[in-house]
Amino acid sequence: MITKLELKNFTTFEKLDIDFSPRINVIIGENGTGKTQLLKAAYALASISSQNPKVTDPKELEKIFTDKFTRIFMPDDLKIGKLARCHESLCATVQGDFLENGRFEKKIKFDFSTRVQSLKIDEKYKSQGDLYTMSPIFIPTKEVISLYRGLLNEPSHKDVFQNIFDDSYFDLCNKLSQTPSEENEPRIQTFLEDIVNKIQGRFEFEGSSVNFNAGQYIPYAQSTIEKDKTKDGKRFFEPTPDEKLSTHMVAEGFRKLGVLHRLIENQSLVPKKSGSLFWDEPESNMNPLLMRTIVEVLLHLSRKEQQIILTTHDYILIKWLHLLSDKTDHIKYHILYRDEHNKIQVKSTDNYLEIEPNAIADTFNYITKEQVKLKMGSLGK
Amino acid sequence: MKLKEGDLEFHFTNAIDAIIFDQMKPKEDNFHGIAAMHRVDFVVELEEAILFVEVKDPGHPRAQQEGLEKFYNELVDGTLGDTFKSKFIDTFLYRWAEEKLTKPIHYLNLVTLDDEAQTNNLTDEIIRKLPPLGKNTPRWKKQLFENCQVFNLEAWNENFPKWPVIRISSQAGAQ
Repeated sequence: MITKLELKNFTTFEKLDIDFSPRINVIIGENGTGKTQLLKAAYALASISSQNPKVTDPKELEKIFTDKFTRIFMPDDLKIGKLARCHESLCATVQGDFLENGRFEKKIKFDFSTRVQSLKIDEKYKSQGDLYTMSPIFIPTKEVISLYRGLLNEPSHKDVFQNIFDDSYFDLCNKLSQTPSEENEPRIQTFLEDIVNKIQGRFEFEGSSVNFNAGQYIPYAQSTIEKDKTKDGKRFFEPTPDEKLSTHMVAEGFRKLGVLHRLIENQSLVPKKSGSLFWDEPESNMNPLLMRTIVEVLLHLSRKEQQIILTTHDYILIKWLHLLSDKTDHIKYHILYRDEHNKIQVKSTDNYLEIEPNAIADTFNYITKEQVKLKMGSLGK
Repeated sequence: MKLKEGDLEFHFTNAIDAIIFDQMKPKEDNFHGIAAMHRVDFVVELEEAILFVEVKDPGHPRAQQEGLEKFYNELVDGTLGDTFKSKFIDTFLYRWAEEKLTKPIHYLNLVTLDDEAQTNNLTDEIIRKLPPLGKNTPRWKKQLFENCQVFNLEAWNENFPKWPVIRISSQAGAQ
């Protein structure tokens, strides 16, 4: 998991330090305050190490850092210097502190500048090749199931796709393509079945293709035969006859839930084994009625010690987190805002009611005020 | 003009007239007299408009658990929205019969919830339940109200500096 991220002169941020909860982190803030950039910076750092174990050659390491950051952020001309805010040498810094398996502290740091394509990786990190190996997951705002076949299996069009989609989309498709290696634990299996019933079917991955098989999990009939008693209380998937659909025919919100389902099903997302789960605006294109299911799954994963870092604009998501969490849960809210000098700052709190400034609540307040203004003019003022 | 409802005191500083509309004591001024009709708490006359004001105070510092449960159950099952609707309609009829509806009406409700998402939601529910029930009414020449809105305490005071509301118990405690 990532415990701390420090950004200096990096993209929108002049200086920003953020301490993460080992469980659930919710990043909120208005558009343009750098929520996604913060998420991507943490993800890029974590994924560089886990995707490239045991690299110590300085030139190779520099290339790996440069490639990953430019492919994740996609700056102009794919030049890493475009991610820095000033012109001095080595002015931008990105540093993350990580815990490997909850024990070993790892620090990953690098500096770079705008002027030349220079990049300097922390000496200690370089010399020890002291890599963080827990592979993180990034779920971007657009759903990826409908892009899966193209992004994963069309090498002839890779350049085109790479001009459109940043690396987080490719990374996620690779995660989705993994084959399940063992059965999931019963509680997780119940969540998976609940997701299938919510989206009225399941996405089935076979080689390079993915289809949606409509249907639902229903309980086995009670059996009087002793050897079948093991099925009591369990459910099985009953497909709807002749209802295999192209993924493009399925609602986008369902596809997003399908991603979460697949990551858990194929054990890409396993608490204590996988790295952090980064999720950029889970609510985008999602029917609000599905949000409770997502929050229940996230809370369950976090109770199994999965670190989750998400960004949101969504009242409903935060409200469900607030309502469904208990005293043992740890949810940390990080509020990004612009101070009086127009610099991005962060405030963190464990209590939703202490969120200030709260872009989401402010929106409701704004609606209240606008209704008064539009309907009542200056009455009462 | 100051009016009290439970632990909340309203000061309508620019009112021509402000009455406790829900007055059911026969010896008091403005005795309502029809218990079977629903009633808003206050009717306030301004130079250019009339306010119907209804107050619900689940945020009362000494609110009893039983009362709170009833309030939240009614909020969830729609009974509260129905009550707000009935109070407006019956008050409207009563004031019409009194020939007092001479200016545009604003139906303003103070509900002491913290969450402004909930007050916005309740606003929508009451508007949906009041005539014309969200329908198009090309034959209507007038509308029943100019604005219908639910505020919490903070939003009320923020939006209506000329009609400040104070919580009486907190003022007493501060002295």
